[in-house]
Amino acid sequence: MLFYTIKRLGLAALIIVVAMTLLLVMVHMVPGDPARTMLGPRATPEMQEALRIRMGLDKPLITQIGLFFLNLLRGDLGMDVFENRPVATIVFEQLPYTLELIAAAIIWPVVLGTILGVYSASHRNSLIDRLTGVLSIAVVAAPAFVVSLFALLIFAVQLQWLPAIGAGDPDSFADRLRYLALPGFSIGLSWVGYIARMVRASMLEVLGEPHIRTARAFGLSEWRIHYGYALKLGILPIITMLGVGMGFLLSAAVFTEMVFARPGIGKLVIDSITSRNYPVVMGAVLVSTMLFVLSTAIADLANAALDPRVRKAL
Amino acid sequence: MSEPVLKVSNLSIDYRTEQGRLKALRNIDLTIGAGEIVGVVGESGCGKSTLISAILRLMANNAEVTGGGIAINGRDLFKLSARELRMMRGAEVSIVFQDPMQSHNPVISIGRQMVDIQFRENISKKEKLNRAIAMLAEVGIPEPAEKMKQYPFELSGGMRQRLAIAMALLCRPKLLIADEPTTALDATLEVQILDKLKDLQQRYGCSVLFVSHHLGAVARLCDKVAVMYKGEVVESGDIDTVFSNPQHPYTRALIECDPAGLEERTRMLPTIPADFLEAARS
Amino acid sequence: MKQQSELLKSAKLILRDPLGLLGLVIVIALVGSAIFAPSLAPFNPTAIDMKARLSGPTASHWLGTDQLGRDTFSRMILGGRVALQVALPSIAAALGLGLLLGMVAGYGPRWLDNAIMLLFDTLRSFPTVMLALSFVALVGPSLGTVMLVVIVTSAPIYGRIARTQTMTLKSSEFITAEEAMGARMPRILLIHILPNILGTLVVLASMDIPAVIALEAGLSFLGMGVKPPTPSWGSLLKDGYALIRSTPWLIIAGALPIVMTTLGFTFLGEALRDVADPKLRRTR
Repeated sequence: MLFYTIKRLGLAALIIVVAMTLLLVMVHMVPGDPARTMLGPRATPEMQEALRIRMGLDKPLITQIGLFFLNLLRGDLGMDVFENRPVATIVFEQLPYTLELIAAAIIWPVVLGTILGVYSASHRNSLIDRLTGVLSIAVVAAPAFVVSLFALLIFAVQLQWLPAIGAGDPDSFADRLRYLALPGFSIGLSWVGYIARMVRASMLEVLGEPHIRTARAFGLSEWRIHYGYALKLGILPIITMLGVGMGFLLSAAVFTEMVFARPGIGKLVIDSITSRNYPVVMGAVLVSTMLFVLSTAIADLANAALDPRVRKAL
Repeated sequence: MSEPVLKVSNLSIDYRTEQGRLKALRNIDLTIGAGEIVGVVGESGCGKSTLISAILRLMANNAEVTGGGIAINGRDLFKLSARELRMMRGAEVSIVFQDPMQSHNPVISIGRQMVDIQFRENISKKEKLNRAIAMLAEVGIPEPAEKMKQYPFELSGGMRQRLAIAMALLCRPKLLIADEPTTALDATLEVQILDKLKDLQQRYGCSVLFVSHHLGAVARLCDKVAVMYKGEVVESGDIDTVFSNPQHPYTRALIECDPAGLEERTRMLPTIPADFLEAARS
Repeated sequence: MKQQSELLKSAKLILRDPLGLLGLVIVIALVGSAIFAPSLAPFNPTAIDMKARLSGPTASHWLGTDQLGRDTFSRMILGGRVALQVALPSIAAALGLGLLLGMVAGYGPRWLDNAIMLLFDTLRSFPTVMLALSFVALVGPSLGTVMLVVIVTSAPIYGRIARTQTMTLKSSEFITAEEAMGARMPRILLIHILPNILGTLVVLASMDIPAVIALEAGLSFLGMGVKPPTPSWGSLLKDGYALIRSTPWLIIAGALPIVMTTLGFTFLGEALRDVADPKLRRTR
C-alpha cells in the first residue's frame, strides 16, 4: 500500500509537471506576448520590454521552465505586477471560498444521491425509482450556470428568501452557510440524479452477486444487506467518479461564483482576465489544476484503502 | 419418530419465462428426520437448486409455487412472515453454498461477518467473536483468532469452504443444507471436507440435506438418498437399497455413468442421453 | 443491399423508442432552425430598436426584446447556429485526433503507447473551464478559442476508448492473418480497425455535443466566448443576468434551448447506443 501510494502520488506529480510545461510552451508559442497584452495597445516598446524582463519572458524557454519549477518548489507562483503582491498569496486568499463552495455543492448530493440510488436499486420500478430516473436525465440537461441563474431569479430576486450576492460575514458560520445555500444547491442539483443513477447501477450489480444470497440465507436484515454489505462494495466506483468529478466541480464553481458574485478562484480568474492580470490567471489555473490532479489521486488511494482486495494486494 | 425437521410434500414450482411456463419441480416429496443425512442427486438442471431455494424461500422472482408445501419443524414455510422467515434462516435452516470463492462478501472481514450472523443471540460482541473463533477451530482452520481480521479472499478454496461450514453451524441449525459443497474443490480436499461434515454432524446432531451430482460423495456421507430427474423425485430410499438395487432406469444409468463406480477401465465414458426417459422407453 | 436493410432496421428501432423519437425530433428541429435561421428569424438579430427596448412577449416580439430593443426570439434562433458552428467541427476534430492517437497508441510499440497515454492523462488533468480561461487570457475571447479547448480536452477521452478497442482487435485472428500477409500499420488501422470502432465512437461523440454547446454558452455568458453583437445562447443569458431584476425573458430564451438541446442529444444518443449495442441497454 505504501509503495502504491508513492507510485500514485509520483504519477500525479509527473502529470502536473507535464501539464505545466505544456502550458508554458503554449504561452511561448502564442503570437504576441503577455507583456503587450497586459499593458494594452498604448504602451511603448520600452515599457513592454521592461515588463518582459520583470516577468522573465526575455529568457530562453528552457530557462523559463526551469525557473518556474524551481520557484514552484518554494511555493512561489510569481508576482502580481499590478499590485506587487505574490500571486500565491492572492490565490490562496481566494481558494478557501471555492473549496467551501465545492464542499457545499457535493456533500448533500452524495448523501441524497446515495440514499436514492440504494432505494431505487432495492425497490426497482417503484415511484421513487422512476422519479429518480426522470430527474437524473432532466436535471443533468441543465448546466450549473443555467441552474444558478434560475436559482438566483426564483429564490433571490422573486421570492427573496436567500441572499443574491457575496459570501456572507466570514466570522459567522450560520451566515456563511446562508450565502452558500443557493450556489451549493445550483452546482449540486445535477449531481443528485447522476450519483443516484451510478449508485443504482453499481448496487444492482452487487445485489446480483452470490454473497448477497448468502447474507439473506443467514437471515440478515434487508437494511443491513443493502446499506451495510452491498453498499460497501457498491460505493467503490462512486469514489473514483467523485475524484474525476472535481474537474467538473471546479468548472461549475467558476460560473456559480460569477452569478452569485462570490469571491473564489473562478471569480479571481475572470476578474484577472478582465484586468489583463496575466500572472494571476496562470497562478489560479495552476492551483486549480493541481487540486484536480491531487483529488483524482486521492480518490484512487481512497478506493484502494477501502477495498481490502486491492489494499492487501499492494 | 418425532416431528421431521424438513417435510416437503407434493411441491410443484414453475418459472414464468418469456417462452411460457417452465415446470421446474413436479410433486416433490422429501422428508428429513432429526439427525438424518439425506442426499439429493441428479444432473444439473434437474431442479435441485430450485428445491434448495424453495426451502430457504430464496426463490428467483419469476418462480411460482403451484402446489404443495414445505414444513420446517412442523411450521408451514409459506405462511411465515418476513420477520419469522429471517429468524428461521441461519438458525433453524442454514446453508453451505456451492462456490466458496464467491459466497462471502469480499470487503467485510471474516470476524464481522461471523459476528453479524449471530444477531439473534443476546450476548456481547466479544463473546460472539469468541464463539466465532471457537467454531473456526472446530472446522479445522488454523490460527482462527488471526482470521477474524482477515477477508474471505485471503483464504484458500478449501479453507473458505470450511469457513462456510463454520458459519452455517454457528447458530446451531436443526437442518444444514449443503449445496454441492465440494464440487469446486479437488478430490483430496473433497474427502477432508466430507469427513469434517460427517464428524460435525454427529457432534451437533443436526440433520443434513446434501445435494450433489457426485454419487461417491453421497454414498460416503448419507443415510438416505433421493434421485431427481427433470423436476421429479424418481426414486428414494435408504442409500444401500437404492444404490445396490436401483429400480428406476435413470438411477441405473446414473450409477453406470459415475466414473468412480465403474468396474473396469473403458476408453469411452458412458453418458446419459438428453432425452433419457424417451430413449429408455423406446 | 444488406447494409441498407440494416440501416432501415436501426431507423425503425429508434422510431419505436418514444424518447429516441423525441430526441430525433429535437435534434432535427435544432439543425433545421440553424440552417434556415436567417429566413426563420422574424427580425434582424442585431437590429437595434430603442423604442421597443425591454418589452415583454408581444405579437411581433414573441420572447420580448433586450436592453437595445433587439428581438430575443430572433437572437435565440441565430444562437443555435453559433452553437452548432462551434460544437460540430470541434467534436469532429476531437474525434479525428482521438481516433488517430488512440489507434496508434493501441497498435504501436509500447513506448509510444506510454507517451500518448501520459499526454492524454495530462490533457485531462486541466479543469475544462480553467483551461479555456487560460487560453482566453492568452489569445483573447473567440469561438476559435472555445473550439481549441474542446479539441484538447475531448480528444483524450475518445483516444482512450479507441486505444482499448484497438488493443482488443489487434489480437484477433483476422488482424494476425493480415499481418502474416505483410500488411503495414496504416493499412491495418484504416481498413480493418477504423471501420470496427468508428460506430461506437461516433455515438459517444454525438452525446458530447450538448456539453460543448453548454461550454460555448457558459463562456459566452462570462463574456469569454462570442464577441458582441453576435447572438449566442450564452450572451442572451449574459444580458439576462444583467437585467435579472427587470425581465426574466432573456434568461428563459437562453436557457430553454440549452436544456432542450441537451435532452434531445441525450435521448437520441441513448437510443442510438441501444441500437448499436444491445448489451449496453440503459437500466434506467
